[in-house]
Amino acid sequence: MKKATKTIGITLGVCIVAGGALFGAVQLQAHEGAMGVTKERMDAMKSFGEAVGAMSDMIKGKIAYDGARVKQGAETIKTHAGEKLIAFFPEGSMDDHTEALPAIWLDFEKFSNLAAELQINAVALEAASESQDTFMPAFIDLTNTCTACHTKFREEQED
Amino acid sequence: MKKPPIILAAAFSVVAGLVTLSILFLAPPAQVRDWSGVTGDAERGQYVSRLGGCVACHTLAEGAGPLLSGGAPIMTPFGSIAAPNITPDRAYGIGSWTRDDFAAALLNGAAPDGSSYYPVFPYPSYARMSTQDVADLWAYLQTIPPISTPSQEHDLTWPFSQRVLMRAWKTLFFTPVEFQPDPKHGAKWNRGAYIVSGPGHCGECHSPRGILGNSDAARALEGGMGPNGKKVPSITAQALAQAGWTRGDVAFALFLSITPDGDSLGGAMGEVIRDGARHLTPEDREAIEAYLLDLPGTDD
Ligand code: HEC
Ligand code: HEC
Ligand code: HEC
Repeated sequence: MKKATKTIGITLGVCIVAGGALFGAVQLQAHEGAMGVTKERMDAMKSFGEAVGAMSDMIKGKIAYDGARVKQGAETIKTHAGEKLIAFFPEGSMDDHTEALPAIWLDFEKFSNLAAELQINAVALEAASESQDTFMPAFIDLTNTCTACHTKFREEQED
Repeated sequence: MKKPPIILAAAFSVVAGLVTLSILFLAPPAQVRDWSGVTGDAERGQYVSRLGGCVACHTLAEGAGPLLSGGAPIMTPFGSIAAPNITPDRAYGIGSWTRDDFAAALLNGAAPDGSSYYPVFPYPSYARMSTQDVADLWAYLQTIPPISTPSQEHDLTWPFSQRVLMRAWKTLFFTPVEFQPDPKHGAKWNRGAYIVSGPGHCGECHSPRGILGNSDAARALEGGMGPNGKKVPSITAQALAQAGWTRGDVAFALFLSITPDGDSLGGAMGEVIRDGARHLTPEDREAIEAYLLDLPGTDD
C-alpha cells in the first residue's frame, strides 16, 4: 500500500517537475521581450530600483551618505510617479512578460492613489535630502509606498 | 481549469490510500510539554504574535479589520480556507478554550474535539516553539478585545474538504518536536534558527514540498510554494550569496522590504514583513540574518 502511494507520488512529481520546467522556460524570456508600454513601465521601475538601491547602501553604511545623489534619485522617482505612472498602466495592459496583476484594474482607484502617494513622498524625500537625519524618515515613507503597491498589485518573483 | 486525467487518477489513488490509512485510525503524533514553572506574560506574548505573523492570516483587510477576529479566505490550489476568529469571544472565538486546548492546536495541530487542522495553519512550524513562547502567546490572546463575528467557512474542493484526511496527513508527515539549539553554533545563530524554523514559519513558503504537502528537512529553504500556489525563491545561504546578499542586507530587507538591488519585496513576503518582521527587535532581525547567511563570527 505504502509502495503504491510512493509510485504514484513519484509519477505525479515527475509531471509537476516537467510542467514546472516548461513554465520556467517561458518565465526566462520575461523582461527581455517586453515591448511598448510594459517595457516603458519596467524601465521606469528599474530606475526607481537603482535610486532606492543606492540610498539603501548609504543607510547600510556600504557607501557614504550623498545628499546630491539622494536628491537626484528622488527627482527621478518624482517625474515618473503620479499621473505618469498611472498612464503606464492602461486597462488590461498585460503581456507574457508582465508581473503586473489584474487586481490593478479591479481596484484602479487604490492603485492610482498609491501612484500619487509615491509622487508626494518623492517630493518630500527631495526636500529632506540635505541631511541623513531628515532623509531617513522620508525614505521609510517612500519605500512603504513601493511595498504597499508591490504587495497588492505585483506578482512575486519566481527565484 | 482542465486537469490531465492522469493527474486526476493519480490524485484519486493517493486520496484513496490516505482514506484507507485514516480509517485505520492510527493516532496522529502529538508532543507533550512540561508546564511546571511556566507562567505566561501577555506583553511578551504580543511580541511572539509578531514573530508568528498571526495577524497576517487572522485579521481582515491588510491588518485594518478587528485584531485577530478572522482573516480573508486564503486561496490554495484546493479551494479557499479562512483563518478563524481567535479573539477571546466565547461564542465565535476561542474564549471557552483552555491553555491546553491552545497548546494542542499550536504544537500538535489538534482541535479541542480531537480533529486535525489543515496545515495551511502553519502548526508544523509552530510545533517547534518553546513552551514559554506558547504560554506568553496564550496570555496575550486573553487580553485582546473579544469580537463576536463568525469565522468564514472554508470552501475546499472534494476530497480536500474531508478534514479526516488531515489526520492521515499528520500520521504520515508530521513530527512535532520542540526546537533544539545546535551546540556547534552560538546564541545568535540559534536564535535565528529558532525564529526561521519555528514561529517565523519561513519554511512554510520557502521550503520545497513533496506531492502531498510534506516537507523534506534536507532541502529546507531551497525554494517552495506559497499558499496561493505561486513559486517562492530559495533563501539558502548559497542562493542568497549568489543573488548578491551580504551582511546587513537581510536584516534591512526584513525591516524595509528593500532587496540589495533596490527592488521592493511584495506579494506574500510584503505581508510577512508588514505584519511581522518589521515589528521585531533589530537584534532578532540580525539573528535571522546570521542564521540565513550563516555568517561567521556570530557563533558567540
Ligand atoms: C502604484 C504601484 C507601484 C508603486 C508605487 C511602485 N511600483 Fe514598482 N512595480 C509595480 C508593478 C505593477 C510592477 C510590475 C510591472 C510589470 O512587470 O509590468 C513593478 C515592478 C518593479 C520592478 C521590476 C522592474 C523590472 O521589470 O525589472 C522594480 C525594480 C520596482 N518595481 C521598484 C519599485 C520601487 C523601488 C518603488 C518605490 C520607489 C516602486 N517600484 C513603486 C508597481 C508599483
Ligand atoms: C498562514 C496563515 C496562518 C498563520 C500565519 C496563522 N494561522 Fe492560525 N489558522 C490558520 C488557518 C487557515 C486556520 C484554520 C485551520 C483549519 O480549519 O483546519 C487556523 C486556525 C487557528 C486556530 C484554531 C482556531 C479554531 O477555532 O479552531 C488557532 C488557535 C490559531 N490558528 C492560532 C494562531 C496563532 C496564535 C498564530 C500565530 C502564532 C496563527 N494562528 C498563525 C491560518 C494561519
Ligand atoms: C507566506 C509565504 C512566505 C513566508 C511565510 C515567508 N516568505 Fe520570504 N518570500 C516569499 C515570497 C513570495 C518572496 C518573493 C517576494 C517578491 O519577489 O516580491 C519571498 C522573498 C524573500 C526574500 C528575498 C529573496 C530574494 O532572493 O529576493 C527573503 C530574504 C525572504 N523571503 C526571507 C524570509 C524569511 C526570513 C521568512 C520568515 C521570517 C520568510 N521569508 C517567510 C514568501 C514567504
